[in-house]
Amino acid sequence: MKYIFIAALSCTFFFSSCTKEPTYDPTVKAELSVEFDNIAGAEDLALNTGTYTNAASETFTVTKLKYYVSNFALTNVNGNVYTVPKDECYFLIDESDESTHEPILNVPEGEYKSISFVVGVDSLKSTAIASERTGNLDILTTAADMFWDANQGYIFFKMEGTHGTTPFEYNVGGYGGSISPTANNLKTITLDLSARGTPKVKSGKETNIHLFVDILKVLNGTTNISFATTTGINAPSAGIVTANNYSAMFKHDHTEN
Amino acid sequence: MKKIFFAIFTCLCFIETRACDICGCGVGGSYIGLLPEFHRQIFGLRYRYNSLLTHIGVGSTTSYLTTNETYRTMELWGGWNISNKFRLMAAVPYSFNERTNQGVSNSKNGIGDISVTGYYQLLNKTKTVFSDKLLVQSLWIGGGVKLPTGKYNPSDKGAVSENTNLFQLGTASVDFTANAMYDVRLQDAGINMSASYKMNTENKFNYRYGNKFNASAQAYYKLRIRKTVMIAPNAGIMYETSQKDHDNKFAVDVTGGNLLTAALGIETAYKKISVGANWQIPLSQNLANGFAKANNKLMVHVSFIL
Repeated sequence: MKYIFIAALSCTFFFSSCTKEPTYDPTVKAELSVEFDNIAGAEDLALNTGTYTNAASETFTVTKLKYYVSNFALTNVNGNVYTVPKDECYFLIDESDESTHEPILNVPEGEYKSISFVVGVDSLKSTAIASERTGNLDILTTAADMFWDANQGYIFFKMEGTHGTTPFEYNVGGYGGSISPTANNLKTITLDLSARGTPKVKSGKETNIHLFVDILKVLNGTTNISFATTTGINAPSAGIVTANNYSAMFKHDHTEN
Repeated sequence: MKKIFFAIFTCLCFIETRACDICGCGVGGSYIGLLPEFHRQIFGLRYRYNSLLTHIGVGSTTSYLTTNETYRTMELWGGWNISNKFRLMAAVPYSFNERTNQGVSNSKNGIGDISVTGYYQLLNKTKTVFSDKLLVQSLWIGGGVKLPTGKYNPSDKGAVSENTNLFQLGTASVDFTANAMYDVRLQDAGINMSASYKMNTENKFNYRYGNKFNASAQAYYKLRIRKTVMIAPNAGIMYETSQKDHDNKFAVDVTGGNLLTAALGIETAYKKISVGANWQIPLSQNLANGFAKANNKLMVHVSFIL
């Protein structure tokens, strides 16, 4: 009786064979979306209706939030870097348009441990001829309110809103200038993905890297920005502090596999 | 009659009907506490409460995805002694699950996963030590099966984005458990140790909960009041660890982990009725890769010996 029981018990172990991890074929490309989820501290950002408080204890409301992200590269768990072809990835994230929140990249199948991208439009693209700046970069349509001029280039980051009854408009950009030098506010963001869940990219499966973009970090950072002194930013040199601040606003929250 | 009382009062053992799962919940497990030894049949009602915080942000911050989950389970359970060495136990849980995110709650309730476990007594020794003290040892081993009777809703897996997949009434999988329980007691003071391993299979939605192991060690002391009421305070520690879940064969990063708790409890018995409670306080934890944090757990039961 005793032995039958022990035998029966040990049999149950066979029911749970090891789970084999799927294998990846790096010659096959699959979709990977990167979600830019705009938040304000512990709250989800709500345009026009949400009221937030900066480090200077000033309350404010955001009415518009748009920014460019480009030049994506991913490092897989073996340390190999895949750079997404540049022309495939100039994305304009617009908080008021949900269809822009999750740009999709085509990357080789695999598991990735870090991602990097640029906030803004690099100098090469900024100075390219108009026919190479279409879609999100078309300054006559989509990018009409995201462009200064040939020398100052694109506005990388735009945030508008009100502080009490005072409106504020922050336009941050500057690739360095092609005619005369400007401030260079291009920021490369590199985020570790291993701590909060790696994306496991395989064709036929949806994978989404969910990033939190905390707009409070635009105002609160190395140098806190106060609406009492700054209601308008509209040139590369004026946006240096803001760009330094917002380079810390991206966090990897989780990955949906 | 007097003999039966004596049997009830002197033999106490801890039995776990199934492996404790990380965090508990309908899917989760149950430490059921100290049970009176019984001769033929026992049945009872057990209530378990536990809550946890899930989807904790980077660096233990709260984000708008952070969710409070509460699991309450009422369980009808019974035990049958088939022979003096073989025992069968079964439990039918009914769960009330609730989660709250940003002030919005949703809940579900229903029958959970029914479990059946068989136990075999490998060792049962009584000897007299120190000339007049009774030393009693017993060792039980068991094996069980958990059936997919509770409802598993695949869309709840990621309802509030990627989350620990606990908000379910059942796992939709047939799972197996192996248990061992050792009890040693000198007169009225005893130590109880138990360990169990739960092997989970993949459910039809291609989700497989991670295998779980748990172990506990507890000390108890039995006091008798007027020879009819028995009170046994107990204290100990419990450890549970879980492998990662697999979704479509891919490891789910926000699952698995370990939890160490301190347990305090009391068991009472009067005639054929036994009432007990157990309180578990986390001492250290690393759950779901930092995405989940367990709060205190409570269990109370009332049992009837036939």
